[in-house]
Amino acid sequence: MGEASSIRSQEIKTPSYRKEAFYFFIKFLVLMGLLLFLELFNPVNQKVIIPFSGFLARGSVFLLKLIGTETKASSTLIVSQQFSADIKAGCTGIEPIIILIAAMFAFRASWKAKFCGAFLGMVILQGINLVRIVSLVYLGVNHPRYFSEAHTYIWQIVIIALSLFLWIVWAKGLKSYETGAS
Amino acid sequence: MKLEPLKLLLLKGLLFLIIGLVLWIYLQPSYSKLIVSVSQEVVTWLQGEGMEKTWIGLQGNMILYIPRGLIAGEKKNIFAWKRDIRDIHYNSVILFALILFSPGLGFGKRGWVLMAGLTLLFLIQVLTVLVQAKFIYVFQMGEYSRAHYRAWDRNIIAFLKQFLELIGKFSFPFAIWMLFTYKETTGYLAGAREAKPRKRRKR
Repeated sequence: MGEASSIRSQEIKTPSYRKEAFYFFIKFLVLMGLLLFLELFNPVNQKVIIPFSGFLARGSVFLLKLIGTETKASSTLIVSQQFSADIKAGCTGIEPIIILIAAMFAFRASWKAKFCGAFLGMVILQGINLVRIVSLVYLGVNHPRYFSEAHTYIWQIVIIALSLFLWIVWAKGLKSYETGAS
Repeated sequence: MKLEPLKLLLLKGLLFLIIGLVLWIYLQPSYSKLIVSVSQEVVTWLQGEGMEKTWIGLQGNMILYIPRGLIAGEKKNIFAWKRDIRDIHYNSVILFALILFSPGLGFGKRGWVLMAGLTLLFLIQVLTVLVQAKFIYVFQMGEYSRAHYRAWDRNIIAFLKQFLELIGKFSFPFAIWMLFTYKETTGYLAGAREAKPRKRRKR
């Protein structure tokens, strides 16, 4: 009887990594679902996402002008005589941000670390996404045969690898982890 | 035992990403056929003797969805809905790289996690094909779609499709990697070979 209760108490003291991993997995998926729902929710889409896409289009046109490529922005479109691109869902850089935020908030860390990490991550990912849009439009205008590969494979993998890299760097920098702060 | 520095680990990640990409380019035609044939089997089984029957095929790198059933028979123009299949299974490269670069995993466990992870991801890729096939009936069959699917069904299928296509394709490799290597990854991130157990407060 005594032996059994000692074994049971040992089981309780041993952290269940499987359970923790499963909770992380579920929290991550639920958070992503909620954030995606928010992104797709019509009022948010109309009042935040579409104007933000327009802002990205105007910013890209400005940067393209700096590197000598003449384009015009019309709502979410970037137009030139040879090529046009529409900044729609999947191109706004919001999805990698959703993945990063969900991963940060599902992980055991202090709220301060989560919010600071999410804010910094958003800024960095949006900066890189702007570079992505500018480089893709530049390719579309000047080297159109490379556009499809660069758009579908190179940049997608760069953006997602970057968000995973940011998460690893953020999680590695967490001092609170070992003390179990939440 | 010293921990691998972050920089070295990330370089390893980049190397495995390139190796994964090369392997994927080489294997992707056969892998696309495998996804299509498994999806076709599952769709045939799910649709049974109902009105909806879908033929799923490959045309180069495009996956074709052709409705063939009573509803297609009633229509004069049978249409095919096309998607790039590489977009569905491109995420295998990321999972491959993540598992191979993962710190603190033994050789045996790494092999097991690679097999289990890729199998789980394969099932999610098949699910993506199934959702895309369902999407045709729910949204693109005109009168049939309006008569047979309510707003609730449409919202669920549209959300699932967006979830799998927009964020799921890249977040599932990460989620699967964490699910299988949580102990080792958190251990590495906390700066130890093995994650230390949390101390319980004494009462």
